[in-house]
Amino acid sequence: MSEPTGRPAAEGVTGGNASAGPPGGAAAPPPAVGAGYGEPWPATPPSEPVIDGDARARLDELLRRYPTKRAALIPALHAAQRRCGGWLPDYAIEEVAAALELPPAEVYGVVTFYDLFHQKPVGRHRIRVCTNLTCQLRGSDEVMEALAAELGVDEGTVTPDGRCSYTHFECLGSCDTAPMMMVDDTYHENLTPELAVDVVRGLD
Amino acid sequence: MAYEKVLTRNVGRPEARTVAGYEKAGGYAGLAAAVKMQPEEVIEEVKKSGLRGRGGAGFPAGMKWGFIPKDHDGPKYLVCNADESEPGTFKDRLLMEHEPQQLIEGCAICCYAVGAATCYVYIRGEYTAANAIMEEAIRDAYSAGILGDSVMGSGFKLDMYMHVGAGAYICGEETGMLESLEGKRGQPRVKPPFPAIVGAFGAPTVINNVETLANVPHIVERGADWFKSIGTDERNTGPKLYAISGHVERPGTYEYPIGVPFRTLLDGCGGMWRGRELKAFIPGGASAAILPGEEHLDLAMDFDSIAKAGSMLGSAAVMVMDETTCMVRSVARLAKFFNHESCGQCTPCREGTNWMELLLTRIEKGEGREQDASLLSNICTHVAGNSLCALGDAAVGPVKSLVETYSDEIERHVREGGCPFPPIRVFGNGNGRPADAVHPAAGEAAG
Repeated sequence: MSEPTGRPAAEGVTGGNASAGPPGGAAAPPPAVGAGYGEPWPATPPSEPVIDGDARARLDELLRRYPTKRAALIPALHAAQRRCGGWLPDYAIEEVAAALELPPAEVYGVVTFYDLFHQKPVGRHRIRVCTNLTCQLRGSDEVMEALAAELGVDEGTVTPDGRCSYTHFECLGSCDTAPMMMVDDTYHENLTPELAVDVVRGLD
Repeated sequence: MAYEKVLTRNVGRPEARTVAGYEKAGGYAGLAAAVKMQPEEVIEEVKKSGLRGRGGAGFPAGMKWGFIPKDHDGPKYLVCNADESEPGTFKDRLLMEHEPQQLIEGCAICCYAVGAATCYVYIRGEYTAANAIMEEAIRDAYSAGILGDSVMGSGFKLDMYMHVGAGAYICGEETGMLESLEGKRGQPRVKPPFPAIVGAFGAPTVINNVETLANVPHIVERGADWFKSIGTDERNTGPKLYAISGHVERPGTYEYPIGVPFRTLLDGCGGMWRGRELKAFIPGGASAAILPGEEHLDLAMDFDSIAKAGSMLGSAAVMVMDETTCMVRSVARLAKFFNHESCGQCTPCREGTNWMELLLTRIEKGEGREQDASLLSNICTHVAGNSLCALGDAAVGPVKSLVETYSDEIERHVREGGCPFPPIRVFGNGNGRPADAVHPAAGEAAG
């Protein structure tokens, strides 16, 4: 995977569409905007503006929900990150800032505060292993060791083929099925080291 | 007397995620009754029930609602705290994934009572499945006339939105959550003013935990007296979800009347795993002090009894540790968590959590010094009570209990130049199955 440094060449990658239609009456169900769960993650950053088309429609829907523009920032960053292959290049951050009329520095401040936003490329599949106490008590350290051996890279480093990156993570709220890990949007629970490796091998 | 489940009746029944299915199971009777009452009567009923916040602080919910100014001319908000991030806690996820309509009903009743026309459900970004289910349930509730222009035909207008967080424990703190909702770093605010006066977007705001709000429909439907008949005493009332994890046979979310003895919880989840001995447990999430197991088997698991024992009910995340558990390693992991999650705003917490992690990690690695235990105590006294929010105090909880109760283990690490306990290996029975498949225990409460 080539590390994008600026806007790559045009390639019509769009995030999915959660049918963000025009606002109906107040009683109409609001379209789902959220973080766009379940949508395909584009493999490379889009060439076109990060916020256009569907993303623009979503942002407009978001802006209707809050009394301030700024309140749409975190949902907008989630959407931008999805469009950019799971991380936020500088141009995406600045575009979000412009769309919400915020100083870029304020947006950088928010991006760096939250664990789910990344400023460096991540793997096509992002693996987060819960290693907090209850998972530790049931062997998450061994799961981390197994992933390190399987993937052959350090925590936080993308595999040379761009397929995976993995990190330890704080409690993911699945302590009853510890040890567990989150791969992209999916929880994998009641793991053994072998099962964790099987999951990783099954990724495209 | 057999205890009848209240909050987890529909666990494992996906059909009850829709309005139609939920109504068939008796749902929305509370909201239907509420919109026929005066808002003040609803608040009064919740006050009378004695319902205390289920997120950790245990503040009386009705009182919180009562703080919202009645004559306020402008918007008011309800923010439902679904940022469940306290290590060991997974009960709110269960409620959202299995009982989304119950939560919507509770939120709607609260909004009606305090006069809020907008409710944001702030859910942690990692809860992808729960968020999708809630989004779907909200859409269904709009279509069914539960939400929107006229809540159940009452003329009361209510909008409800999911708001997805981005991974920060501190956003579970109520003012940190408000900052985050407003699109900022989740750094807690100076209080007062309290959110009831100046909350989200400067407007009066109620912030309640998912489980707290899930209790509300039942209080309105069945009455405060019924609610008060469940539990230990006047100050500890109602049903309670206990999220039990760690070294037990069947970890899971269990519903009991608040205040059952720890022994009942332990027996209910099959006891200690692999026939091992109980060493210790944390009764209320990572922020709570560790309690030695055997001597607290009869401890009533309610707010006041656990506080008296020197710990706290918190989020009722019960983490159980067997005889092979190294307390230094366990507390070092929690210290690492608090260091990572400290928002950095207050110096005592930012620096203190860092030093706690450094010291505990070096003790665990066998590089500890004799004076480290007293140094840890010293740091605790400088962090506790010296930060804007409760994160500093939370970080102190487990460390203080380690130094006070398990100082012999610290000494052994220092003396032997390493950890005397075996590394933890995965129990070979992992089946890779998701929570739904292993949640049959949920709600299977004993009498």
